[in-house]
Amino acid sequence: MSAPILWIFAPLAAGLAMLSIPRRTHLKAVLGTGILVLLAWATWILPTVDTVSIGSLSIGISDTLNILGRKFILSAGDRGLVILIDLITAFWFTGTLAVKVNRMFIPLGLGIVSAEVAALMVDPFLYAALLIELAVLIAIPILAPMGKPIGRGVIRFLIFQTLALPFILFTGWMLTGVEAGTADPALILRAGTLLGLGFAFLLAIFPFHTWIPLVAEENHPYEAGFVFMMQSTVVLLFGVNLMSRYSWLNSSADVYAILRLVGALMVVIGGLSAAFENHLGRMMGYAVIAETGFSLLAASLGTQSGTEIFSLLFLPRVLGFGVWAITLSILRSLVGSLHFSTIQGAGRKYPLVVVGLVLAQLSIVGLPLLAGFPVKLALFEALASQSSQAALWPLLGSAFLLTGVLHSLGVLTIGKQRKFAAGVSRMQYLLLGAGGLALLVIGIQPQTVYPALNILLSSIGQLAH
Amino acid sequence: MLVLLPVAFLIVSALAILIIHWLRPEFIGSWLIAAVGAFLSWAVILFLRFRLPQQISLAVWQPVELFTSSPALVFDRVSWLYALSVATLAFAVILTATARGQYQTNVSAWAGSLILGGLGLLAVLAANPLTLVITWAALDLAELAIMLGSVEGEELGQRTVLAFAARVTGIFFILWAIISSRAQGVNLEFSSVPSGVGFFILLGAGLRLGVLPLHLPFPAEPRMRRGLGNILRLIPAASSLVILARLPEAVVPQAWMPYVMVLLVFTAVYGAAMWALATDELNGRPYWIISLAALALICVVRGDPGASAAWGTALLLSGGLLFLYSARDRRLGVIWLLGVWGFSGIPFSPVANGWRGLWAVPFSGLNLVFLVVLPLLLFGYIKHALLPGDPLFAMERWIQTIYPLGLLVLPVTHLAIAVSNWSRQVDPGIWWAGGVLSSLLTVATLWVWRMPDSRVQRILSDPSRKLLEPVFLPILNWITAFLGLEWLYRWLWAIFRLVGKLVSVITMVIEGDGGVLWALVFLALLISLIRVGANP
Repeated sequence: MSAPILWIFAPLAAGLAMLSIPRRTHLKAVLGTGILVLLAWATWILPTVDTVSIGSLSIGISDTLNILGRKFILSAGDRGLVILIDLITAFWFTGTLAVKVNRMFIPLGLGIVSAEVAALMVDPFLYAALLIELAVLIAIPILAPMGKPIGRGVIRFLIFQTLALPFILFTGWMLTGVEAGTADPALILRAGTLLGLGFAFLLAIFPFHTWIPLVAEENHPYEAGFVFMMQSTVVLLFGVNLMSRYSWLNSSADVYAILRLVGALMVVIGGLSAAFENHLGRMMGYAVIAETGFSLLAASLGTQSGTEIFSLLFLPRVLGFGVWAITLSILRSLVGSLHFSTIQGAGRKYPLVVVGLVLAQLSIVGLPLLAGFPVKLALFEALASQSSQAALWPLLGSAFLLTGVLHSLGVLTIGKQRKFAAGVSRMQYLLLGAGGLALLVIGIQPQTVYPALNILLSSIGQLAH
Repeated sequence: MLVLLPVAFLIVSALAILIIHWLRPEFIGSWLIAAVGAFLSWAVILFLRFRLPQQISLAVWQPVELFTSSPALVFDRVSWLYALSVATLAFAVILTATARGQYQTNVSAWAGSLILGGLGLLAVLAANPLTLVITWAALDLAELAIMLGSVEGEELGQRTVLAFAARVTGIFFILWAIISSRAQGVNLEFSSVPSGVGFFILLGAGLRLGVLPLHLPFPAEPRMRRGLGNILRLIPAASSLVILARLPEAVVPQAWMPYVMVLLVFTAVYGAAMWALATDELNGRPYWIISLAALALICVVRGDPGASAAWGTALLLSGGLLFLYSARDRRLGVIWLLGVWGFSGIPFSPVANGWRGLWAVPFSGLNLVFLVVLPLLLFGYIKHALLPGDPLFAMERWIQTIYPLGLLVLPVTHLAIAVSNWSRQVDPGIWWAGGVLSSLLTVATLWVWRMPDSRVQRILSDPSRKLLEPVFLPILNWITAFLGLEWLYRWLWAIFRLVGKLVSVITMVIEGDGGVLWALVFLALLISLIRVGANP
């Protein structure tokens, strides 16, 4: 038996089975979360290469699965990445207990997990692009449920993600020459340019970022948030592993310089756009863009500590955007829209929801006390140790993002004192309370989770130049 | 762990009264719980004077190779001064709340005062810049929640958010200081501030002194302005003042010195004048803070950060006394006179050492300016103290006992601070500066004290108008409008809207129907720019 079967096909099978459950989203949420937590636990404890004896029956477990000449390999080191994907998805599934989502969300979410786990395991590595595209296709019905018109954002999401595919596959073909050591610098330059373009499409790098705010505006914030998180996490992991694999990439100072430039550009553009935004959903979209920029900046350090910062950034990001998306979903269901003209004074009626929103936003900004701060500070310090200019721009981007947060806070708290309005359920309060508490605890005591996360993600490709 | 006890007493008593109030709203012992918690906190800090220094690590952030610093608290000579001042303020607010109870008994205001007191203690005990920014953020978020929960209306809400923005900007300056230190290969600590970095710390602290924007939106009710309002104004100031005393001596580059000094001296004079002219102490409170904070900052810029603590504690304790002095009686004159003594600069008084930080040797014209600032502050203090207030004699007997105790704890603590610094305090400071001021003070006090009530009030409210109004008031009003920053907000808002329009036009273009093509055009442009940059 091949170990990858369990981690690729089990979620897929569970998702397919859940498609037959007509409604009951809470049941699906509990089942989906349970399955993923169980898989994460199994990934942690089960060996990937071993022989398991059950009575007289002996089952050999192999870490490799062959399909159509391609290999899916779950090495011991990659288990952390699979656990990360499973737990991030389980976290988002738990949130559906508090917010009403598309009934296909959980089954299709499990399908996305399958595709993305497969993307991290596939060899040759560049076939991951195909599996990421598959995940994108599975995500489309989440963002555009049957019977509802498809928005511009979803179409553009599909266009840009699909455009990435030929660039990366073509690079794969070119790289066979590079790997054989016969490549000339011109070929490397061409391959690098094509690869860069492919990743620019996948990671929504300026100017291919426009689908993010559009999707965030037109779609349910929780569903959009899930797609943003899954997509960016897997593409970032894919990108760093790719870099660590090819020495012509990870030993080139130019690559790191470009990563730094692009990362800073994304943080500044994301922050600046958020500062002038009048829609809370779109603001979250711009914050996603800025966060991707922070990850690129961490990768641009090209050091061991840079890789560690890159890995640790995932936790506060997922937690922050999770709480942010839940609060937006609650507000949208209560007031109808997330545009500033509609949500004016919502903080007076639903103060605890707005407290959750502001904490999540400020955590993403990197305000001290909250989860995003320790790793962001480590990143700023690491950037500054190379060049203070490199740290200045992302700090400025954070300041822009903070301006947007303060702008929205001002709008949300306009008006007279009112009695707390009904409409927020206990489950919503419970999840918001837990999320807010987690943001504070990780912000003050990062040592409670980061060392474990660091070990878990130690297999992320090491970058060094 | 002893270091954490004072904080724990304040926070636990606050949580206790909130929970009890939630479960049993009719419970009448909440004030007592708050008072006991505040007293224990104050007493433990007093006791810790004999156990200095003490340091405690709150956590060791891991992985250690990424986190160069971890949160820690320190009880040393400087932090003890400010910690005691903060705990005293919290204690005094709870004790004097009895006299304000006629307006409304408010458990949430007491709890708010205790929580802010606890967070303020953490801030003044911060052992390194990392702990400082974390505690500042906690203080700011707590203050924001309290303010937004109590103010109404669009303008007041916006002012609250603006005040929060000013404070967070201060945090960003400290973060930049940490980052720039790292750029120089130094891990920023209060004891090791690289050249050029101290100025950012000074800016960050200055922004957080609670004077920008000048008028914070407190509702007019005394409960908010006197008790919790006092805490909201003074504790953030304390959390900024404490780092001034920790800065190295040459914090401002020599070339900038004259400009920074002129700005600070101007601020001190302006604040003192506005304080003297204010209609009452609560309206004058921002000016009291601005003026004394400027004096503390001048000590730092002049290379004597240690002297700034004298002005800082005077700001908190003498100021706190007057701001809590709501119920008035002639018999309480002794208490506020002790408050006057606390910041008078008389030899052997608590701020006698503060002169050392202001006075330049050899004599310069600026020294004369300081001889104007302090008399103005003294004049304003006495004038405001003599204004009529709520009649104390009409209150219940127990209030007539507890309330004066609440006031008395402030000057007594100030005296304790002076005594604790006795080894330095034996030095009478710059005796003749103190002498001039003490003479002025004595003459003014005797002159005022011997007059009948009606004349005292008339004269004390008149001279500012008769002598100062025609000349200074228009100028001061212009300066107030300038420092109120309304003009700046209007400009910033105009720029914000302009850039916003530009951004929205670009967004509309790239998100419109031709967005995909525009993206390709932008990409081509970007690549060509990068190519030009790489091969100029």
